[in-house]
Formats: sequence, C-alpha cells, structure tokens
Amino acid sequence: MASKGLSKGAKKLLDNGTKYTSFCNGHTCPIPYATRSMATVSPSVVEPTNLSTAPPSSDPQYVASLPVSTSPKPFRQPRNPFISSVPVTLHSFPSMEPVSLTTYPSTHLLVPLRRDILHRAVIFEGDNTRQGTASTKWRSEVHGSGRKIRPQKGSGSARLGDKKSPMLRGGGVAFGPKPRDFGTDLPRKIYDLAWRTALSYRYRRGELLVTDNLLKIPVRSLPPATNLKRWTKELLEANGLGNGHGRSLFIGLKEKKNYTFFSILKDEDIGRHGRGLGVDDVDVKDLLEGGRVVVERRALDLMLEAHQSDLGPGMRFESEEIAEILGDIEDPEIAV
Amino acid sequence: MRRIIQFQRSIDLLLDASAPGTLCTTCQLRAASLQRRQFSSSTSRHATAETFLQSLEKRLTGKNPQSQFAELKKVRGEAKKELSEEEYEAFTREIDEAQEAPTPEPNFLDRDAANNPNYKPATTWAGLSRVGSEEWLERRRDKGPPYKGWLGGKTRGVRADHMQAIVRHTVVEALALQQAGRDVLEICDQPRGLPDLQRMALSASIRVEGSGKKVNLVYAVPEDQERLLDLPAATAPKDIVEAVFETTEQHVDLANGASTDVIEDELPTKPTDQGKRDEMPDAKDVWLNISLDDLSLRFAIIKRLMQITGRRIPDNVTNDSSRVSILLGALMTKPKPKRLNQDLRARNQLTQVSNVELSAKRVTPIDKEKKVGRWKVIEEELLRRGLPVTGHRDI
Repeated sequence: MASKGLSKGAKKLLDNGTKYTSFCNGHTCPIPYATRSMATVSPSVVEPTNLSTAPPSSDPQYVASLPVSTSPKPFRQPRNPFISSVPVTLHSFPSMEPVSLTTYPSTHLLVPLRRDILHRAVIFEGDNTRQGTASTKWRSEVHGSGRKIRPQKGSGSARLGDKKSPMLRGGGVAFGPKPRDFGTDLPRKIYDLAWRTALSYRYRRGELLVTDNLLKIPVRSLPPATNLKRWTKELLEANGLGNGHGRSLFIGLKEKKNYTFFSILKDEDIGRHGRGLGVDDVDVKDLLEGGRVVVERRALDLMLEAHQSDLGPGMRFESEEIAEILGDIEDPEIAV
Repeated sequence: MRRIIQFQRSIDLLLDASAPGTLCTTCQLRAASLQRRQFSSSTSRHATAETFLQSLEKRLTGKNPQSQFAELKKVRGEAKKELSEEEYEAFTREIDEAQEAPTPEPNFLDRDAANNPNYKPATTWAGLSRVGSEEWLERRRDKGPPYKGWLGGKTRGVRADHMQAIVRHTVVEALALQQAGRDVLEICDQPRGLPDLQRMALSASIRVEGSGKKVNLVYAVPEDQERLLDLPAATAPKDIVEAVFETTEQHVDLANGASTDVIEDELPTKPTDQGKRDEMPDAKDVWLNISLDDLSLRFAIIKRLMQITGRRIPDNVTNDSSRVSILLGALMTKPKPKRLNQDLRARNQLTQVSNVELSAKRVTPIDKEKKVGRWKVIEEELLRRGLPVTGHRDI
C-alpha cells in the first residue's frame, strides 16, 4: 500500500479526506491530496510528482501529456495557525489618551521569549561598543638599553638580561593589554530576531506604549513663562512613567538638537525619570532596560521593518508611511 | 488653575487639605482669633492663664500642615462644646469666610514694627515662609498651568463587587450603542455614570447565543432602549467618574456580604480567566461569556474602564481579553507585590517563625549597631576624631 510510507499524521489526514497537504516527518511532501485510497493508482490519473517545479500550463508538451479526467486542484498552502495579529493601543502624546487600536503581526510583537538569543545580542552589542584602547608597554617597548645588567655566572643571584624584564621593577608588562578590536560577529538574522524578541518581551509584560503622534511638548499651547521642566516632570509622574515606576525609554524618529522633550530629559533632575533616544541610536540592551518603552508609531514601524531579515517574504511587515519617511527629508512634522 | 505663589498663600492653605505649606503668623492669627483678642506666637514670659482660644491657636500652629488640618477638625468639635453659641458662630464664620474669600494680598507694612503696634518679631521659624532659594525663584517665575493628563494621575481602589457592576454596565452600554449602529467609542464621551442611565444598564438582561458572539439586550422597561442612547451633553471627566462610583455603590447588593477587598494600583502582567473564586460572580452569569472579538468593541470597553478606574490597562491584557470574563479577571486580580518582604507578609509566611525577622530595607551593619544601642557611641567617637561616619573621606 502506498500509504505505508506516509507518517501517522499524513495517514490520518488522508483517511479523513481532508484537503491539507500531507506531511512526512514534518516537511511538506509533494504528494497531493487524495480523496480515495492510494492502494491502486489509476493510470488515467497522472499527478505531477513535484508541484513546485511543475511546468507552466502554457507549455504544449505538458498540456498534451495531461490526462483528461479529474483535474488536479491547485496546491494551497494551509494557513499557519501560529501566526495571528496582536492589538496595540495608540496613545496621544502628551495626554496619553488611548485614541485608537491598531494591529501588528504576532511574528513581530509576540515572538516567544528566547533568553539565549537576547543574551547573544546584548553581548554582541557590548563587544562592538568597546573602545579597546587599553595599552601597556611590553619589554621591547620600555625605554632602556639591552645591556646585560649582571654576568651570567658568578654573582650568586639569579641570571638577568636587560633591566626591561617584567620580573623587575620598572620593566615591561608581561603580555599586557594592547589596543585591539573586541568586536564580534552575529548573524544578522539572529540579531533581528533578538530585536523583535525584546519588543515582544515588553509587549507581553504590558511595558510597550505606542504613541500615535510625535513625542513633542506642545510648547506653543503653553504660556511663555511655563517652566517646561516642572511640566515635564508632572507629565511623567501623572502617567506613571517616571522614576517611581522604573523609568522609561522614549524612542522618537530622530534625536534632533531642538527636540524639546528629549533635551529636557537630558537635564540632571529630569533625567532620573527617563531618557530619549532616536531610532538610529537604540540597541537591544536599551529596549530591555528600564520600566517601559514609549515609542512613536512610525519609529516602531521603522524598527520592525529594519529587523525582519529572518522572516520569509510572505511574513514581512511593510508600512506605507515608512517609505514616505525615508523619502521625505523635509517633513515639516519631524523638523521640530 | 493659576499657580498660587507661596508668599501669597494665607489661611486658605491651612483649611484646604490639598495644598500643603506653612503660613505666616499673621494669617494663622486671623484664622484662630476673635476680633478683640490679641495673640502672640512667641513664648509667654508671664505666668498668665491660657485662654481656650489661645490653646486652640497653639494647636493649630503645629509644624506639620497635615496635622494642622486634622487638628482644625478636632478644634471645631471642641470649640462647639467649650464656647458659647455666639462665640462658636463667630469662630466658624471667620473660618468659612476665609475659605470662601479670595486670596488676600499680604500687607507687608503690617510686618513692620513701626506701622503695626501688635507686631512682635518671631523667635523661631515655625510658620514663616521661606524665600530666596533657587527653587523658590523658579516657582515665582513659573506662570504656567499644571499638567493635566487623560487619566488624572490618581488611581482609586475599587471593591471587587463594584468592579463587576462597573464592567457589566459598561458592556451593556457599549452593546446598546453597537446594536443601534452608533460609534461604540461614544461611551467614553458621554456621562454614562448618571444614576438613571446606570440603573437602566444594570437592569437590562443579557441573552447570549452561540459562543458569545450574538448578544441580545432585553430591557426591563421598553423605553429604556431609547433613553439609554439619548444621552445628555458631556460634562467634565471627573464628574463622569465620580458619578459612576456613587451610583455603583447604590446598585451593588451589599447585603450578600460581598468581598470588601480593594484592588490597588497596576494590573498584573498575566490576566487569569476567573480571578479569585470567592470574588468572582456566579459562573452562570451569561454576560461573562460575551465575546469581545470585535476589536472596536473591545477597545471602547477597555478605554471606558480605564477612564472609570483610573488604571491603565496594558496591551497584553487587551490581547488576551477575548471574553468579558477574562477582562474582568484581569481587573480583579491583585498585582503581585514588588518586594519580597511584602510578598511574605501578604502570604503570612515566615512571620510566625521566631528566629526570622522581615525587614523592608537592607539590614546594614549600622542598623545592627543601632538595634543593640551601640551606634550612638560609635558615631560620637567618629565625629570626635574627625573621621567620616559613613562613606569615605575625600582624599
């Protein structure tokens, strides 16, 4: 019986007459679905053995060889039951009022937690951030002559060469540090997966807040004599974003010098409550630090688009606005 | 709200519990005195009998403004007993008038001995306002309004039985709007906490068909359906929330001995389906099985609940809340304590063990010395020798 070579699942599927592709040992078999037993293969039905390399139907040679009886149904990839969409509330800054709900794919914000991948990414970032400028002088670099300071034999003490020996005071360092590059490599796909894992970790814990508009203080709507530091501090404390609630990381599209909110966060007093970064300056480590991440929606879209190299073309996230952002340099809303 | 600058504060601050701060002696004396009495905050050097009002004034000029307000309440009660009717009326009239009166500008000439014969310079700094610091300068220059967010900044503890009633009536109102073909988000704009509307919502019975996706609302009174949708104009958000809580208390059946546990602060990260057994309603309640697969309905209900409770509901709870019961479970589950000692005390573990002591802070060697009583001696000796008591001396 032809079905002997199939896995248990495949047999079950075939017995039920379901229209799913059968699976052999977990991978898709080029066996099309069938509604009858495979015990006898009718010569009138000649199914192509490999559907993915099936020649186009316009090929006359192929068409001539096709049987006239039951036409094979086209292959349909079954829906992946593990992919869904997750809702994300969009807030209005600075009131932090929930204004709408949008969805993101679960491949981007509901990735299973993989601590080992997060660890690798954080170590990778740390290694590449190292300055690596520690330097010492070895015995050949220490200033001094190479004269033998005492004879080889007869002095009664240990034999010594020059005075630059690391055994002696004032000598060189034995194998001391030299400036070098501590950078390591990490496959891009793993780094991208780590990025999305960090965002998913925050989402699962309810520590990811997304704002619909830019992270800008409405300076023009406040009286000119308003103390913006005091106002910002009240904003952070009222919304539970400050030091008393574990601090927050604010991610904006660009960290320009006149980005008022971010510049206030650099103040010594207000800086205890949180910090602001542009999308280009964020790391996986930054996403994992602090109490929560508050990110602009477009910045989040940018991050997700930039870190999905491990996903297939059918599962990639594409935002229509990102193309506008990348193409439009003189966006008046971004230029504060 | 105009930001009141410190030197302009007067008796209103003493009587307004929400505004901390000290008062100058002049303003305190005005509050506590009758017209013809003279008071002095300085120490009396003569052996004079202290009048009742003088003792009141002493109690009101405490250091802690919070205790001053509490003291004023006690003082009112005692004054009622001690003073005659006329004196008590005059006493309370002074206080009430000062509460309603606009903030008077302080007359600094009164503080000059040349102009005011009753002026006596203070011997301590109790009750005097402080001027001249950088923060004081910044506060003076700051003419801007305070920050006002959407949530209001204050969360309130909600009883478990109240939470069920609030969720139920929110769901009914949202469904009423949805079935009438209107935007479900209107639930957040309108003052749905008004007594009549809440009564209509709570009295409507819900019939759920299928797997919770088809819901029928049956109103106790047929006219309720139109009235529920015909909403008055929106008022201030604070009024909405307060009205919801007041009317919820009226509608919840307290005779059943419902749980009085208060759920504080933030939501936990993982919502449970049923929460705590003793606090959850009967599992047969059909309204718990209403499906929230419609994201617009789910968002509207969650936003309204955030508005009422003052707590932010995170996205992971929004994601998991495919049914009303899950959302209710998330709202009713108490958050896990952040500190180990709080967790152990809550679970009553290790509290009875005689050789175990729970401490809120890290126990340092200084704490151990203090407990034994040796620290005073050590500190004195270190200071005598000019050594740093804690930390390291700068080299």
